[in-house]
Amino acid sequence: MEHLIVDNLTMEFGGLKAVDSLSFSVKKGEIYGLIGPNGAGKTTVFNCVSRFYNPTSGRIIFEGKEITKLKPHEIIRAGISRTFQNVELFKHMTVLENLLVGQVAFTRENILSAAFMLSSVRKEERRIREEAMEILKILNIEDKAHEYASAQPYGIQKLVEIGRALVSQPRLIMLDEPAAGMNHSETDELAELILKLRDELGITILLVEHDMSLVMNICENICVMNFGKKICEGIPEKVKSDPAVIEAYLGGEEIA
Amino acid sequence: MNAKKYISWIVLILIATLIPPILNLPGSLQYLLDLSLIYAIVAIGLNLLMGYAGQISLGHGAFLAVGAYTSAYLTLTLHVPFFIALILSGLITGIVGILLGLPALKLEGNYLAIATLGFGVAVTQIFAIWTSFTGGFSGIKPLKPELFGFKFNSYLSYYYIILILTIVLVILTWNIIRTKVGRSLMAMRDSEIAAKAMGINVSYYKTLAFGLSAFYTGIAGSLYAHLLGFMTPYDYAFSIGMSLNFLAMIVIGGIGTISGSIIGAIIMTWLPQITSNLPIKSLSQIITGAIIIAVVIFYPNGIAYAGARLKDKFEKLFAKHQEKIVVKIEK
Repeated sequence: MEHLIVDNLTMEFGGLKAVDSLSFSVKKGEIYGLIGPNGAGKTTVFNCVSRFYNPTSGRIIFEGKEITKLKPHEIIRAGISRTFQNVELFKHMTVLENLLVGQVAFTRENILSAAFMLSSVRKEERRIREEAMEILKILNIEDKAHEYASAQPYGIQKLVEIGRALVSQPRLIMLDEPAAGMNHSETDELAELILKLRDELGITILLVEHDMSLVMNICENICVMNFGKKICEGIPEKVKSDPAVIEAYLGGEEIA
Repeated sequence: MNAKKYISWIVLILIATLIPPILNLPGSLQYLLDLSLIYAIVAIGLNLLMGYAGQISLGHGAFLAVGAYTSAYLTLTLHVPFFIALILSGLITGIVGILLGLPALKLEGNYLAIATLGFGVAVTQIFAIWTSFTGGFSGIKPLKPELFGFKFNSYLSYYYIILILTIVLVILTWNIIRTKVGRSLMAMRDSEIAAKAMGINVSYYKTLAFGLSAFYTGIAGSLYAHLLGFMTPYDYAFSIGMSLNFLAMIVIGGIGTISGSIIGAIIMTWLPQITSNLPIKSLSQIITGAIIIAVVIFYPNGIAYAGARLKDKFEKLFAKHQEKIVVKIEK
């Protein structure tokens, strides 16, 4: 079943076509990789799906509904959550508070009920704290809960960001270069984690990544972009040996 | 909040309740004590906007004026009881705050500072010529508040109204900042794009922050009007100078803290008074300025954090000392 369909997406900045008539679809429960050299337009695709950019033309369909007209803050309620290329944490908040923000869209509190701390608010607060702690346990960082996000090493910050995306219980999660800045063992742990998210929580995963070994290891299908266009799509084995892909990367050198 | 913190707040409230009648302050000093709590309410409101939501305002003196004149008009002309006028002043000023918040959606940082500054100047000018509402240069005389026949004539009796309201507002603020609204405001302050991706409607929360901040200042404005026996639009508390003072309060006390707002307001209200007894007149302002600079240099996060840092230092010293003892014993 098609979970996310990107249909003929074009995004122009001035005269530049950052994304040019791109189409691909992600099946439910799949780990799908979006790769390409620097400036290929991968993050632009992400920003179109998460609605930060308004595409010049084309449609984005999620779970059978068109989401191309939604506002950025409405996307999480549709069931899509994301992380950012250069970690975008709430620096002056604790790790736990960062995760709680991921719950904001699903919390039925308003300023008056919160100001007077009605029992419904207390209950809600307890519930979301428990849920956030559960996620921290899955990520194995529950001991960091009450430390400031900015005080954490980069690898942990990346995990916190994934955690924040998880608490909203998304059905599709978009990870923008999750392995960037990580060492080998950290990348291996990340691969395990991503597989766990899909296998145990049933979340569909759309991955933008530079680390080829990670993509080749865990993705079922891959779309390769270059200059905003799709140059190849398919299983890792097919993509690896595709001459156009090899040409785009490293000018002919073999990849992975 | 842990038990230790609860106890320290309760002790503080007890001190605030008992000290004034024990000291039996002269009228002018009791007036200053009333004033410092009113300013503390403004500082808490401004801190919600700046410290928590990350939006700047240099126009809070004008919000104070809106609250003060709304309350004066309601009680004097429409004969509305004081406590209802108090709430209405907060709400009406809150609406004005929301209106100012709308252009803030398009402005950031320095540009927002200038826009709010412009608002501050405009309101004072409008109030100066809108004589049917404000009485203009000849001023008006707001009534002393009355409740169940008791008239709060003295600065001391009025102090308790202000104190109770301050405590209530501190509790409400505390509840707001540690739940959904507070988290949304702080998230927006730290990263607007991540906040959006997490489902936070940034435009809504920016406007809300302005409205909320103005609501507090409107309440303070109403309290201020009824503290004064006589009020004109040229009052220093409504001026740009005072708006900058409010900013200084939260920077000195501690951006993003409730306790810092109160500490800052008390310091900025009392410091000029304490230094005013010095023999040379302008020395007072110079010393006040020097102390502000010193605080900003040595405690850049504000005085509220300075206490925590001192405690840390002591604990570290103690830990080192213990280590030395352990080493000695091992030898």
